[in-house]
Amino acid sequence: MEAAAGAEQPEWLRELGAAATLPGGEAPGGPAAPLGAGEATLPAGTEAAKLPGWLSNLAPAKPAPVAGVHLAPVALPSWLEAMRPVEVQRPTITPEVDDYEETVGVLAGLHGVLRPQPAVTQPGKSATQVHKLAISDAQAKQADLLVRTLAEGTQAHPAAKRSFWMALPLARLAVFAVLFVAFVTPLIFPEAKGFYTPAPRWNQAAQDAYNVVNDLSPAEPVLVAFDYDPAQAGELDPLAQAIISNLQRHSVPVVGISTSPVGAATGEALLSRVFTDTAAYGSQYVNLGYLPGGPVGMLELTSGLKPLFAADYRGNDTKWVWDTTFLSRTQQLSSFGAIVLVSATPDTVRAWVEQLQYASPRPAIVAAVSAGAEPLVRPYYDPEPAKAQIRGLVSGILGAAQYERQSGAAGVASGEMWDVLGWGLVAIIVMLIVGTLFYGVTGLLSRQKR
Amino acid sequence: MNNLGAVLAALLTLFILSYLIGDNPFYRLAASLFVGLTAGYAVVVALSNVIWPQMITPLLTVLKAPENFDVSRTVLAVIAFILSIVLIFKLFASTTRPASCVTALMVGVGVAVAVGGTLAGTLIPQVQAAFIPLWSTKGTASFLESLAEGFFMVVGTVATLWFFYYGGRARPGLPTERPGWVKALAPVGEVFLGTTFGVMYAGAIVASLAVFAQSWLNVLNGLQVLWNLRSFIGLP
Repeated sequence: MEAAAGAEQPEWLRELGAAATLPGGEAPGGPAAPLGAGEATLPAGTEAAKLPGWLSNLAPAKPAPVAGVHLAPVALPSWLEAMRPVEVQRPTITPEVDDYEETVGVLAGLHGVLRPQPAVTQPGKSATQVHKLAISDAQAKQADLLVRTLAEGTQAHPAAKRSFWMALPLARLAVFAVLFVAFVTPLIFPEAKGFYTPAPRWNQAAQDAYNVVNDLSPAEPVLVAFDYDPAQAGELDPLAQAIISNLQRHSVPVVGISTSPVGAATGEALLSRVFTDTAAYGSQYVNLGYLPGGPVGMLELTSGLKPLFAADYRGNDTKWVWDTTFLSRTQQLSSFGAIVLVSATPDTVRAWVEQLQYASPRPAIVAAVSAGAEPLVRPYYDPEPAKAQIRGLVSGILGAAQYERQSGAAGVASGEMWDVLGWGLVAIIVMLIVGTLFYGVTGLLSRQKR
Repeated sequence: MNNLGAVLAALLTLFILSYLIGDNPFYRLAASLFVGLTAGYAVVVALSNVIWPQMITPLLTVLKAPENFDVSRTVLAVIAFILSIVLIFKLFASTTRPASCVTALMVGVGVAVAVGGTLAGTLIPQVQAAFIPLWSTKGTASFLESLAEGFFMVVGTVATLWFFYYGGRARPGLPTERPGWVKALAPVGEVFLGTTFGVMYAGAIVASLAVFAQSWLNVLNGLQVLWNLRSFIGLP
């Protein structure tokens, strides 16, 4: 092929080929690539030809070393070192392979042809995290400590186990011991009985309550609302018993109701204790039982009792309750001589007073309340009957003891209950004074130390 | 039966008092009994005193004894029965809507009664009661006593109301605070309020002490009963 090509080459081309031939007889560019149609190789030795002087002077000069300045590398602080930009890894570009053969256009069939969409222009994501924070070991330990500290705050830790004796609430046991000794003293030592007597002077409100009950006639029954639970019976049973015993002595019939289901049972127990004669039920007292609805039930009571109580607490039917007992002539609220509210909470008394105002004429209301409820019930009391929403107010064991003494009958409140309560009150007063002094002094001393 | 009740009362009281040494099974038994018995008893009383005689019996009377038919009671019983059944639907999520109407009726009626009673039974009478003369010649109290009482009533009422005045004026660069005339009188109201709360606390202590004393008397009563019955249990 080369002979045929040399034979057909023009003379000037043959001369160029002879000049470019190296001593080894090989073209300087290596063996010529196989020719395609219309392709000719470059003359060999072209690269080895001596460059003209003006072209060789254009070669870049080597940089001259800087003399006289030697900078030692400085140790950067860790926080600054952490800010050193991380080398961005150059994106990996798949190299072009030479076996690509173009298939379209005028370059069809040629190898080594640049593709119309080179890889360098293809969008890609760097595989390296540019914003990677460099954390030292000390920083990692401190961060871990912070995380553990925060986690401990949200975790529940069981209380440390202590021995049985160390776990005892000593202060609570000490208070109990003092109160127990105070309670037992009047029961063991007869000299301690009657040591404390109820105050002789009675307040006006309690006196008015006694007067209202004392002035009732047997023709007008009294409605007694037992609005307290058995849990409060320790304080209110003596008070209610004192009032109901006074009513019994005056032969005033008693009608019991309650706005709480368990209060009806408490009332039944108390009435059975006072009226020991079983035949008294129906002639001297009746327990109508539970009045549902709260304030709505109280309001309905002002319209009449019979529609609200189809049976009494003991299950006797309506015919027996409203036709054969003394209630046959007392079916409206206005027929009652008085209403006695026995309650442990001021809210119940307030609800009764608010709803009973719609009854006309309204019977006199007497409140017998717990000692803790008295301050909030007192605003409803007034000495003047025309202005009073509550005509009388008795409270607590003290009120019960004074009521019994006023009525001339001994009862639970003025007996051993008052002795026990009196000694207990003295023990509490002593503990309050001692505790106040102790904590006051220790508080002052600790403030001085600071 | 009374003896058994006395012994049981003493025993349960001691179980409750055992909480002094910490939570224990005896205390839990007594507390559970208390809660369970209270709830159960309340249900039985409501059933026997209210539901059965006022709702079930009138409906049964219509079926069993039509001659004793009472129109008003029967109509009310039917309405109550229907509303009760609808209220049961509140247990199921898909049928809550109709039951909510019944609840709304109950709440609405209760609130209306309470608000009306509060307005006419507490607010207006208490405001009227606060208008008292500073000097009064009525009653057995002397002129000075009446004057002092009236003065304390007026000052106490006004100062207590002033204490609850929380309106403030915002000024640029300064924190919002109450007007000076309110700040001067509010501590006086605070004194009255504190005194009232102190009296209430003292009353609560006395009430608790009374209940505690009664509990111990129950324990002693129970022990007394056991002592009296010692021959039955084989003791000399």
